[in-house]
Amino acid sequence: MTPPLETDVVVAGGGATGVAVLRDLALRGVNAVLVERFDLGTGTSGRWHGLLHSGARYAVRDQESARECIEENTVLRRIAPHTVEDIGGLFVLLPGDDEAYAGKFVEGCQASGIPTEELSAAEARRREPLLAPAVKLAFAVPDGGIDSWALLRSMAADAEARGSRVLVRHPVVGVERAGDRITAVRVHDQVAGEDRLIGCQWVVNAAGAWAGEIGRMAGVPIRMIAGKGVMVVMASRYVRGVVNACRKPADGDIIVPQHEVAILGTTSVQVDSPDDIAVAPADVDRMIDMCAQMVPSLASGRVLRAFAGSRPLYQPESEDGGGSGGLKPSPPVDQGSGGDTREVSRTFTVLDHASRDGLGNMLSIVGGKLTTCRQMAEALVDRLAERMGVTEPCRTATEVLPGADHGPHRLAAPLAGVERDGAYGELICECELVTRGQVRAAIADGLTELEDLRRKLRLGYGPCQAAFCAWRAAGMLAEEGSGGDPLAGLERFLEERWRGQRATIWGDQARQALLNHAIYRGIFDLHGAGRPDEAAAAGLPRTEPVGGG
Amino acid sequence: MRADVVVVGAGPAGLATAVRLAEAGRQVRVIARGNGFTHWGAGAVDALGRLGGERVERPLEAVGRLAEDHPYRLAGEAALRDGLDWFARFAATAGLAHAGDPERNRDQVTALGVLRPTCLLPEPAAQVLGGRVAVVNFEGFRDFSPALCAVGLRGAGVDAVPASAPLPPWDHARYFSAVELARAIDDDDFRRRLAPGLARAAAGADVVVVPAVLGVRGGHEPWADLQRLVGTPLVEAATAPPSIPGLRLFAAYRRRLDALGVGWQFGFPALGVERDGDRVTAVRSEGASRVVVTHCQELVLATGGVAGHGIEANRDGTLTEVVAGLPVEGFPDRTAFLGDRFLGEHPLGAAGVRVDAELRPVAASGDPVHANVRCVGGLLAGHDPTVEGSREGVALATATRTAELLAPTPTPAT
Amino acid sequence: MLHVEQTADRCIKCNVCNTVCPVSAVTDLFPGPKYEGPQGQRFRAGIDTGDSPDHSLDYCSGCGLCTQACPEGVMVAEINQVARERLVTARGGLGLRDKLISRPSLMGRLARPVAPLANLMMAARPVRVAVEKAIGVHRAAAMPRFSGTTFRSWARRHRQRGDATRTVAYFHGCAVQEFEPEMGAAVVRVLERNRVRVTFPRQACCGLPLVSNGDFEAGRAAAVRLVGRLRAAADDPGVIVANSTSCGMTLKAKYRELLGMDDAATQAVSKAVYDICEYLLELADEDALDRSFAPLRAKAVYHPPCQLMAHGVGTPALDLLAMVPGLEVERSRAGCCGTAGTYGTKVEKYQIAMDVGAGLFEQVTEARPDFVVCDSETCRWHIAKATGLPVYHPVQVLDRAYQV
Repeated sequence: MTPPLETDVVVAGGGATGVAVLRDLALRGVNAVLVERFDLGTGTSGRWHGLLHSGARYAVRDQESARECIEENTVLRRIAPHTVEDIGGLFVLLPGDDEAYAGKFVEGCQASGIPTEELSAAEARRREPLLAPAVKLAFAVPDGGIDSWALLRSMAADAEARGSRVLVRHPVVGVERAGDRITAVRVHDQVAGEDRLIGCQWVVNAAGAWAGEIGRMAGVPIRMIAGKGVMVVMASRYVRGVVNACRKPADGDIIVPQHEVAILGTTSVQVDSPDDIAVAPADVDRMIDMCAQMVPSLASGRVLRAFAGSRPLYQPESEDGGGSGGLKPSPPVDQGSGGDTREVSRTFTVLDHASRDGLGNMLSIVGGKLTTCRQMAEALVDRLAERMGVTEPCRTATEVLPGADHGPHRLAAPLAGVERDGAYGELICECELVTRGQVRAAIADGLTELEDLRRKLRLGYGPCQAAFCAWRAAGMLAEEGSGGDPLAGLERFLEERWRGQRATIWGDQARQALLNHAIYRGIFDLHGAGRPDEAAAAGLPRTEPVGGG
Repeated sequence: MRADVVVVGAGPAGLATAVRLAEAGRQVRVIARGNGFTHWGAGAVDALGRLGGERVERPLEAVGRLAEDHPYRLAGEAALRDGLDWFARFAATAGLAHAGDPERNRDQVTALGVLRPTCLLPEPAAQVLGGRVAVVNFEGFRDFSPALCAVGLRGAGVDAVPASAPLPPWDHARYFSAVELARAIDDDDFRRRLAPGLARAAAGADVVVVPAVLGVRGGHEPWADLQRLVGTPLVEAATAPPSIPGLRLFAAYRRRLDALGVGWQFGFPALGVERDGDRVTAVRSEGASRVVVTHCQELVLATGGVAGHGIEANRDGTLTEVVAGLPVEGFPDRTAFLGDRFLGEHPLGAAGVRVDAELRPVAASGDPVHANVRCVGGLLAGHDPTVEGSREGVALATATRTAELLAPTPTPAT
Repeated sequence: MLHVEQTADRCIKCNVCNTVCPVSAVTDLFPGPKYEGPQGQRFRAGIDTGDSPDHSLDYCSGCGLCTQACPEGVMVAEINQVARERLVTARGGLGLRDKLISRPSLMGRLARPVAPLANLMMAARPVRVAVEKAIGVHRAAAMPRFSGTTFRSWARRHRQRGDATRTVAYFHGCAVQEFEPEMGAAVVRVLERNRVRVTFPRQACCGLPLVSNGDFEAGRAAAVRLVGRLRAAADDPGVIVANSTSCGMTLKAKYRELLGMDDAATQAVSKAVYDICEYLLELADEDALDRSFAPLRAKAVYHPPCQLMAHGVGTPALDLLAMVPGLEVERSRAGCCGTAGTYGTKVEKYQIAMDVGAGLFEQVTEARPDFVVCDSETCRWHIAKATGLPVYHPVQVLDRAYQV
């Protein structure tokens, strides 16, 4: 077994919150190691619509959330502009919508400090030409789009540059306790295939929707409700900025453009486990039909895929919220499986297990949303620093992240880059304009799986669903001798991409799927079964949970 | 517009049908929305590669084991034999000689190094691998990885070694794909400058595997010439679309169609038909500002299944045949379209129009829907051309049968 | 986002379009229709303000072979044209050269009083070199000859002989009006021979060169004007024939597809437009075509222009020419002759146009025909210059066969 690591703080969970905590600790000079079961951003942080909240969605019912959002919206634009699409958002009023709600909406935004501007129907349509003719008026708000993987990578890179460590593919399998303190966290190194001990003084549970599992391993009860939301990805962008329905939050009331696609969202159903990410065709149809009320051409548009993620909703044990720090949530509503989870508060809670459970050196952070991840981390690390006797103040709101000098992400940036460099002949993934050089650099950085290339470079993300780039990239992995059977890796990647697609394939996408099948099975005669799979033999797990994405 | 026979579709089935009908003496017009599987295939003639997942060694013999609604059973084994035979002669006349024997399948090298089963192979792909095999890419060509191909070949027991050959200076250095490279290799001067680097990369090998880019306009002559210059047998490996061997074949079909005086309306889909009783009297196709009506005596639909855009897979699980609204069995919902493994089988790939022994689409009762409509190729139910490796064979067999059925009855000499 | 832009959704990346693009075949400055069209569209999507990112887009010639070859219905060339308009707008509009060459009727009117002198000058090398240096029209690019008289002045004096059973309106376009009135006369004679009365509604430039160069605003103004003038003819006589396949195509489809003109008047005019050969073949289908052609013992190569193929009617000229006894016609194997309207006249695109046309020119050389036949005027001038052979519109051949 590898010699045990020693550190001050172990952060469990490589989502937005965990990585933000790691960075905050690093900026305060605290040694920390982050452990994550799959790869950064494979939990809820990688399974959402990418909305950089202005907070307007909470303006009517939850002004504390709203205020948090607009504050953090501004902070993220300052520290991580390169992960943000500066596109604005609209709340549109359709016939049949409650006009009184619109009034409350404007008041609520004002009260929360969210700037709004009323637009006439004509002005709204000038801004969004595909808006339904029936839209009566709209309110413009400072919504934006945010690329969570880019944000996580930036924050992690910043933390690592300051001495922190990030261990992906190291799920927590247990803790070692001595009395009322955790002395070490036991993780399983998936690649090496063996357990590892990480000795520590403090533990931060930032496992989001899975916080309950970490709690269980530590011997403390944390009741998490998995609030599943389904999202549908359209093959093209349709809208300039975010488009929301101006009504009480319901299914299918938001369209978030993200790079070249549009993400339609979402549902809200309690499920038994955050690993339940299956998508039913009825969910897909519902998203399209609802969002098409705002943008009619969605109804005849091409769907790329659908996915689901679980909101990390915390249900406190008792009325007082069960802990200090953060903000008090509204009363819990556990409706059992199938219940609407919209009523459960989206603000966050810091749980200090010393006072709550008699476990002296662990804190958990639960709830929240990606837009407020930095603020959540600040609240938690303030608490932890106080306990540790660290006096460095939080600087995460003012220190910009690596890459910030690139400015906000522009849709055309990848195309402009290829044009500037005349790099047409270098394209490996043509849908997403990923070049040979980018793939080589990623492989040189240690990426060995096509799935990693997809997350890092958006390779295979586009409409053709990796018809050509998958085997080109597999070829490049083979050239670089990146270990493992490249054909098995290719088959694995194709099957990963396939999961969850059956709910969304018809029309154009059906033709694409059959062409892809004709290429990989018809021309290349790949069958995907019975091939010696070295990676499986090595115990390397799937890189993501089953079900979609 | 008036035609005798309208063929809708310009993929492998449409092209073969149009040529055979014209050769049989009918006056033919082709209406097609665009190119199809000539451009997307492996560049070979698949008769029957797999049955029940198992590799087939003797395709003609295996026909007897197919279900009775399989296109080969409906068209008849003789039509398959004749179709393959005709194709071999047609291709050879066009400078695209094929090797192979319908009695026995052979291996085709692919860019992933997997050896796929097929029946007829164009000469540039026909050399059998043996001894030491050099797998050589042309530097900068993105659609072929010698390392990946060599892994696959070694897995099949071939002694394969990857290498790379430089391209001589040329006018497409900044951007090229298979098409531009193939056109450059059409030029004999370019080949003379290319050969030494290729020969060096192949040094010591008994056979050289290269991607299928050896010329697109000169038939097989660029390949033959390059092989002479290099001094070692060259084998073209099948790559992803666009299929350069498919482009060669398409060009040969176009020339033959022009020579036979076949009308060609390309780039516009057929939208519907006009009927009189149980006969189709005209095809309606999209024009720039009006529907174009082409009157016809006979209609042949070669529009491909779902993949070929001849059948639309609807959101609710139903299927629609797009030209004449022919009956097509749909699915209870769209999750039934596709299997749970991408590389497995997909029911949608086998979906199609049911026909009788005369290739006429039938209703649920089994009676033909129209007296003068035939269906050929991928549009037919009862087979999945990708899974069983039969696309070109079905195209040729059904084209042959259609030409037999529609050949003009001989008129008495006057 | 126009409907044509939304067709980008249908792309399955199959590469078929890339196999037919004549421009990417001859230069690596143009990465091909798949990159430029549906792929690039996802990154433009009309939403970013500021400079359009495209440079390579400028090399698309607009021949439209990609749209025709695409099996999924992606309107690749049209997507490129819309993107070009944004590019031009981002760059502040058309430059001087493109403004000039987009206005053929203006150029024709200016030169008409001094047509013989203008023609002499445009044939003089030092003048062409100076023009090239001044505004960027290539010194060797084919130029039409200015006519001293207009087609309409001929039409005003023309009296129809014989009776008529049908009537059509004739959209002659700028080329016939300013450069080739004799071509228009042939159209009229052939129609009248077939007992069709020809009317000459007031008209104007269809605006195609403006649209294809990227000035949609001026193009739309021209379109609205022309639709207004042809509107009545769309109802009565209900058929408008055009001999220029690209101008006919513009009326049939481009106003709707590129300029978003979906009003009733534009629709009515579009639906009434026929290419002259399309119309004559329909007469033949109804047994109403006079087939008493005298033999023309000659060999011709027929090149169907890319813009003709876009009409969706196949190649009616081939069927018509087949009716002329003794005439041997070989069909061109080229999809595009290279000039693509004004594209091939530009100094930075001329060589591309010549390289695109090389295959056709070679085929012509090998075939040794007496003349070449082609429906589109800019193609005719380009092919004539490159091959040294006379190049006629199919109707001119029919006219000759009727006259003899």
